[in-house]
Amino acid sequence: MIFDKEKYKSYKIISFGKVSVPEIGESRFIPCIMLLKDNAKEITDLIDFQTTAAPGDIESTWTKPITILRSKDLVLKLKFTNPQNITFGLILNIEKHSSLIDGILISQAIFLETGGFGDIIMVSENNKMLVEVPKTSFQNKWDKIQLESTKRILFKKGVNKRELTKVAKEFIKTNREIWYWHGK
Amino acid sequence: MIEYKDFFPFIAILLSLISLLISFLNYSNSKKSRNIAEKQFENRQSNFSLYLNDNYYILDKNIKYAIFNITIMNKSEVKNSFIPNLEITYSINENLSKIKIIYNQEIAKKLENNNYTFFENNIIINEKETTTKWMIFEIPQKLEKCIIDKYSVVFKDPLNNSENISSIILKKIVNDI
Repeated sequence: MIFDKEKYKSYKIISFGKVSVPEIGESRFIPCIMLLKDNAKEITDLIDFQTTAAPGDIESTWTKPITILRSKDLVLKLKFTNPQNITFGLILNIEKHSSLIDGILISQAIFLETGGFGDIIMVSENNKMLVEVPKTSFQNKWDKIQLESTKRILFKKGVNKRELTKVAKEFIKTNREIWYWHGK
Repeated sequence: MIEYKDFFPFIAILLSLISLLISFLNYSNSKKSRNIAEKQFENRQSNFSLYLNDNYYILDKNIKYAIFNITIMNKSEVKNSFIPNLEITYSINENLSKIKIIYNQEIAKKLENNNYTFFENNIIINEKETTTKWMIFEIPQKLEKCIIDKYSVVFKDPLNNSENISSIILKKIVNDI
């Protein structure tokens, strides 16, 4: 699916981390994404609204931006309805945010928060909004995208072509293990 | 009248040129062979590189662990073995010191519910092989009040060739729920 940047606002991620909450997903890590507060006023308002009111309906879709060349990004389109109606996209770089995308798909959720450059993602749930990202058929597509992207990275590092697929699969598997760890 | 003796100098020059050409070809061939032998020798020498993919600092039951996701690439045409360790450079009272922690896979058993794939204590990598796994180290309590300058994971082979990767910070994971 294609994301129309002309129609909807899209936001770049300034930092991300992992947050573990005992009540959610057996204390497994949930990715926490920080957006630039100055650029994302409507998201800050949305987070403030959700902390005081019942959460509305959220529809999430994995999309690609319109581009002539091979897209280096994916866009997670989030549509909030009832009571607030806001649709926006989170821009995720396939190489840079590979582990983060894994985290979203594994935990099926993200925490959203806004802040400034250099702000640290805190463990507390304050000023964060939990967004559920249910499992879809995108996982299969992502597996292929991630494998190709990882193969390109490893090839640049000098891994020979013959064992590129094997090495890339092992690389992805071990990197994903962090998202399955939980202390309890 | 031209006698056959008159051709001797030309024949001598021709033979000299032929021998010169043969010598040149021999030299060229021996140079090629030498280059191939040198290349083969180089390829059989220890040649490996390390990449740090991710790292964390875990606090579990008041014990501190540092975990690293590392890719090791053996570029040599012979298999090699490595003994890894962690070197922590820290400062205390403005004096820089270094502590060396030998890698021990058994430490991982202390970390509850972990499903990481760890390197074995003695890492053996086949020729032209690349592998990615985690490493875990227990951080001594005496470093609690020290300022850490950097964490370096050092891989050393039996011939004392070494490679290292360093990180000045580790992402913190606290498990005190």
